[in-house]
Amino acid sequence: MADRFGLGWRDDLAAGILSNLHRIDVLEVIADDYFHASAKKLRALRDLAAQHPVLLHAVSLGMASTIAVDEKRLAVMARLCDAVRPQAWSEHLAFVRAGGIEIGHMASPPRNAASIDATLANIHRAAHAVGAAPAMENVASLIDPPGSTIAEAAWLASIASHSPGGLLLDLHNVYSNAVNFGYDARSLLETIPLQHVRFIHLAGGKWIGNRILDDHLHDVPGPVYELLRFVAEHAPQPLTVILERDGAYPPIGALLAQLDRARLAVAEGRKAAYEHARV
Amino acid sequence: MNPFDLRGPEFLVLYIAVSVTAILAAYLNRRRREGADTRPLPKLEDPYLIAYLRGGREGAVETAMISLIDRQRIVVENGQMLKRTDAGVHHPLEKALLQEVASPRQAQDARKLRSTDASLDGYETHLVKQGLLPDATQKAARLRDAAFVCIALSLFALAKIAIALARGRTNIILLIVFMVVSLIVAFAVCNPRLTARGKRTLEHLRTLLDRLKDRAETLRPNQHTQELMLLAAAFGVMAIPAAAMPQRPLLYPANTSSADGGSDSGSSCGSSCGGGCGGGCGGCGS
Amino acid sequence: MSTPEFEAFLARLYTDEAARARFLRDRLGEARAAGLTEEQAASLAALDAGALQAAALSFARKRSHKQHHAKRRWFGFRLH
Repeated sequence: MADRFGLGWRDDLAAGILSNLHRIDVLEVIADDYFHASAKKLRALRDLAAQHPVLLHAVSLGMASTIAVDEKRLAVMARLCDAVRPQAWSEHLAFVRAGGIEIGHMASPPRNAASIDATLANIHRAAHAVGAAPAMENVASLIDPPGSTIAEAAWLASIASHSPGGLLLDLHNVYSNAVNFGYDARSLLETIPLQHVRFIHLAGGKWIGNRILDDHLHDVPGPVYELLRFVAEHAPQPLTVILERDGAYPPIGALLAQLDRARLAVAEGRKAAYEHARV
Repeated sequence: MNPFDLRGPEFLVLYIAVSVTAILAAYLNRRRREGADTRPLPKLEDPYLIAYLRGGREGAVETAMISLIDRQRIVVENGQMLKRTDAGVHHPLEKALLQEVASPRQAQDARKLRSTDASLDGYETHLVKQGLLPDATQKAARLRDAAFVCIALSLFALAKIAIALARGRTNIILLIVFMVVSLIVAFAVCNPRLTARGKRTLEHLRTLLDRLKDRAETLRPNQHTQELMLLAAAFGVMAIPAAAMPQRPLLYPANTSSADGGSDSGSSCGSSCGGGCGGGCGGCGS
Repeated sequence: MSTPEFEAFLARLYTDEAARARFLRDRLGEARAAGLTEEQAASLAALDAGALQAAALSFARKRSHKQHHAKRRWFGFRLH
């Protein structure tokens, strides 16, 4: 299988995406948007998945938590996967609720041995309920999670090594966290087992003071393409690269141009790997 | 009991019941026959193909007009359509339309533009091949069904009419009206333009484009050609609001709407342009 | 060090402005009052207040965005 390059499906981008499917290898659909969708909307997604490779991306299961992931939510996810038959599904290494409080977004969990064990247990619960293990995505954070005793790279490496669904590596999240917490993004990539990376997310964010907020409202910054090139150079397996955009939508041509730039970065990384191998 | 001995109103009730049953059976039979195609729905990326699926030749021509006007290849001035330039116009359908307005045409004649471009025949062939429009075999089967139902319903009604006349009764007008209505409905149900698969493909596209339709009012002239083309293609030209294309109400007024699924959102510009404001209404044809 | 109680305390900190203000006034006291261990309380004592406020604001915006969309969906995508 070859490397693939796709876009996150957003209803606002539908016209542009449907007119350019020949330039988009794969679509990633937010699963939560379809948890309570009408039969008509669900049928449209199922037909889309039959026409074109579709991945489902969940955002609210809360997998990286010492609280067991909710069985009812998993059942809804399982029903959606049964109905749509995506090529794969993914979730975040985040907790989204605790003590009856909904945080409303992905919060970075305390990184320690207990959270690794609990997260892996949740991944296995999810795999059992849905019938396929999710690829797990690293999250961005503005806050260094309290209660952490393990560095982010080592924490991610532990999860990636034992997670049956592999890793969805969000390179903008890697870049943001590296900036926000003052470490070298490449050193993180050198620490995690890149052979477990199946999917890659690209996105853009904005600077707030000396931190980066991963808001998905901006173009992919240059350093993220550099990280993509690095991953392509060091991860020999086929990669599926998805560009995410959640608002302030530019014309579709601008998004496709970013996808082309991602193709170029991967091609450069592959070429460098090939040249290393020849030497 | 002989149904032909029933009194007028009772026979009418029976006739309606028989008609509904026969038409329903013909509908289900067609769905079963055409539903056997289990291939995934085809990807339709070309707005003209989508437009042809929805509205045939007329749908494709309307969508091409939307593209040409939004790209300012055709302008509307003093109530007339004028070719401004053919720069960047490569699609055969668009070229043919530009040719048609090479000499100015009245804007309200937009629906009369009929491109003779042969590429539209290619669309028909493509859609038939994809199972979205009926092929010759399906058309023949549909005609057989329609003929069977129509002959059966006609004979049933005509027999009653003959018996009634023989018994000296002349109150047969209502039965004749019911018979004609039943025949029209039966023919329409047996012969829709699209196959079941074609209908599902169009519904699929419309569902995916729901949000585009919802935010149509936010689209602006000369900036969102692709979106406007898809709106016209999937929902019909009337789904394009005046805010997105001020010339649309003048070219395609709501009261002469073709069989499309859109809704007219009114205009503040088209009426003033139509009244001869000389192209000075904030962007009409400029 | 992770426990459901610790995560619940963090969730409250991220979403409840009053709880956050109380915490920033007396970090250890609030953590102990919530029944957290000394180790958990110590990790909270080192929390960057600026980062906490920025994260809380970001979460609040996400919640508000979701509520807006839920409302719009409820009315059939007609509210803009």
